[in-house]
Amino acid sequence: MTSWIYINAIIIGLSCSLAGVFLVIRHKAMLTDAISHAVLPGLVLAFLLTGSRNTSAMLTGAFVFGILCIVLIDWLRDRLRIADDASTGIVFTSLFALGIILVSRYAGQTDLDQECVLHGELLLSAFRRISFLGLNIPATFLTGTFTLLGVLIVLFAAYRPFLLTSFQPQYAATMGFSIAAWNYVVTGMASAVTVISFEAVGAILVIALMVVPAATAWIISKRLPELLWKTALISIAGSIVGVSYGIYANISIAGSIAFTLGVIFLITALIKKKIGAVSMKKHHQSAIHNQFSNNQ
Amino acid sequence: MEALLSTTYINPNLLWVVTGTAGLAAISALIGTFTYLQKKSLLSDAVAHGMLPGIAGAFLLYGQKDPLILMLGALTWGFISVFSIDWISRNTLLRPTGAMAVVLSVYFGLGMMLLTRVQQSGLPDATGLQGFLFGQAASIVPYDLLIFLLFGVLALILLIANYRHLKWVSFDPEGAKSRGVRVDRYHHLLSILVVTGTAIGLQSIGLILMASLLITPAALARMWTNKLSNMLLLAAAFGAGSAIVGASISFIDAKMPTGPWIVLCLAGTLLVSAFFSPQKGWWKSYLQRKQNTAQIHRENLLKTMFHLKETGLNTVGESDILKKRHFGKLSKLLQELQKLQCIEKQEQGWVFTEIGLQEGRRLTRLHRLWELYLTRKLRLQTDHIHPLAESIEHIITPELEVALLKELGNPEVDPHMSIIPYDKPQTHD
Repeated sequence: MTSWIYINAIIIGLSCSLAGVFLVIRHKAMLTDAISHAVLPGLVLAFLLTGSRNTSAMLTGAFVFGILCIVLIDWLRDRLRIADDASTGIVFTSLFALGIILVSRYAGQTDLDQECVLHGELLLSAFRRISFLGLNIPATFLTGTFTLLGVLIVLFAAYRPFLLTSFQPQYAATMGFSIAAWNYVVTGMASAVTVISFEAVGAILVIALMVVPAATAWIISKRLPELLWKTALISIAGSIVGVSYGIYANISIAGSIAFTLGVIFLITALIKKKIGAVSMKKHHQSAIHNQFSNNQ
Repeated sequence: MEALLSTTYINPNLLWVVTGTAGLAAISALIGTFTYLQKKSLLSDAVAHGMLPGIAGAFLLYGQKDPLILMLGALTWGFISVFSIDWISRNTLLRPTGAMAVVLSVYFGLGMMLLTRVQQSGLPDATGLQGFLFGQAASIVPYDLLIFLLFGVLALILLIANYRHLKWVSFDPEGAKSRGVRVDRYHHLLSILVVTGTAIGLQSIGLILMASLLITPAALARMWTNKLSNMLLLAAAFGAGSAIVGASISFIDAKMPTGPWIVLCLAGTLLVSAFFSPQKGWWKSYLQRKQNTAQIHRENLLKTMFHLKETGLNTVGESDILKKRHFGKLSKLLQELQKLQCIEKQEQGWVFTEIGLQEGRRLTRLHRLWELYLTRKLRLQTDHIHPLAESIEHIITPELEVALLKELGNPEVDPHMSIIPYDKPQTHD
């Protein structure tokens, strides 16, 4: 049973972190904050309309509200001339507030509650089972695997446009890639993984899964493929250590994963800073040395 | 309303708590105005989430839900969050917004870990801590309020004492720097204010949605005014008003958290403002568009009548005009022009008044001058220029006309060999 918790955590972590890479390197990390909050009303409405935890309905609901969130942010910014970051803050807090009110109002009718929205229930994800192709597996594992496959397919299929639109937007535009369209793809992917992860880790900790591994890998990567596999490795390491500590100490597993990822980030940044300082010094010394040897 | 009144009767606390919450919200909104102007709005969101470990940790250490202790815990981790964001954005490739996402999610995770500990602790107040997530104004007692207000008033004094410099740094940081103001000092001051302004609202609004109270009132106020002092007053009013509504709802229905209602109240006000704000509202721009269109139609009609007059037709009927150019609501347009004393009605039809004649002549002149300018200076073909002149003739100002005349040397005919009409005969040098 415990092994399913590890497997679920790793799969969700991988989907989130890989979907988050392009948001992080485009300096749009706070968009994950916005999306993860904004999809809540979509989830609750899907829940109330279908009366069950129907994954495709919840995906649709969340997807609609994820895109709505982006559209509203753009509308506030472009039409009402509200500063960009303020527009983001206004839109996601409003949508999240709407979601929380729906949750509180219909708390009896759904098995969503305020707790679950914040915590997720990774521990319980191992128990909610369905049968698939004759196998008895946790529902989260099934949806998680499909999401991960989806993310991987999008990444492989659209590797080049992602690369170009992220690093050289002007060049990408002259090559005929629509920056706006690819922004929506990145955002849509982020909304999709948010939904799958929502039940397991909750609205706010999904931000940690999406942002922190990529941010950590970015410190120690120079090229995009390197960034992607290092992100994946860090995410797996964070999930394993986080789940172990969470179970050992009997505390919120999602919180523990987020915190572990934070510690990995801090250590990486500190080591990089130290090495960076040393290599700068060496570089400086050799530069001085070269100058002297040239003079002789 | 009846429910509200009956609750007042049952709970004498209500007036106290609602007023207090409104005051706290107003202070947060005042501070938020400056973060809005410096484009640091999302800092309050990161700081608010980052405070959770402080609150849970302080509670675990002290073992009681004492507002002063919780406040100190929240402030401490708020400052740690600000410091962390600053450190990360200086030492990695992440910009401040990326650093915020890292800090808020990781510290919130830490807070969640501590919160599960709190729930396991079996301490009597443990469930009360949940109120800090989404806000529970109904659970506030006057002592809590007193502590929050104390910190709020301290922040307010700090804000008022440094008002002049904060204003300067917000609008013209470069100018302030060149005049010897230590700009970074006021950035630090603003960080202190944001942390305090966020912490004081935690129990009534909750840390998840607290950012909204610093962001939305400021953005709302900005839609209604251009002046900082008015903006501050309006933001405070919006913040306080929404807090009153939210807190009242939480008293009526104890299951309802306060924070989300306050936020929705602000969002509703924003939508209304989007329609009616005097500067950027839809209503205003709709009216403006309508006015412009009407003006253009009137001018086109005057011009058409002037053309008819050029062919020798002094008195025109509707059919004469329609033969020359199509107008949607011609009789209405004619009446409008009559009201403006540009034309008069006579038995056989309409004739120009002196004002109307001058205006028709002016428009025709502008049209032809522009056509000439396009062919002479931009070397466009004569069959391309008419539509361009059609749109610009409504926009050319008297100053521009003088410049055009000077540039073209008071010409007599346009590229189509039509005579350019002047108010008085031209003198040529």
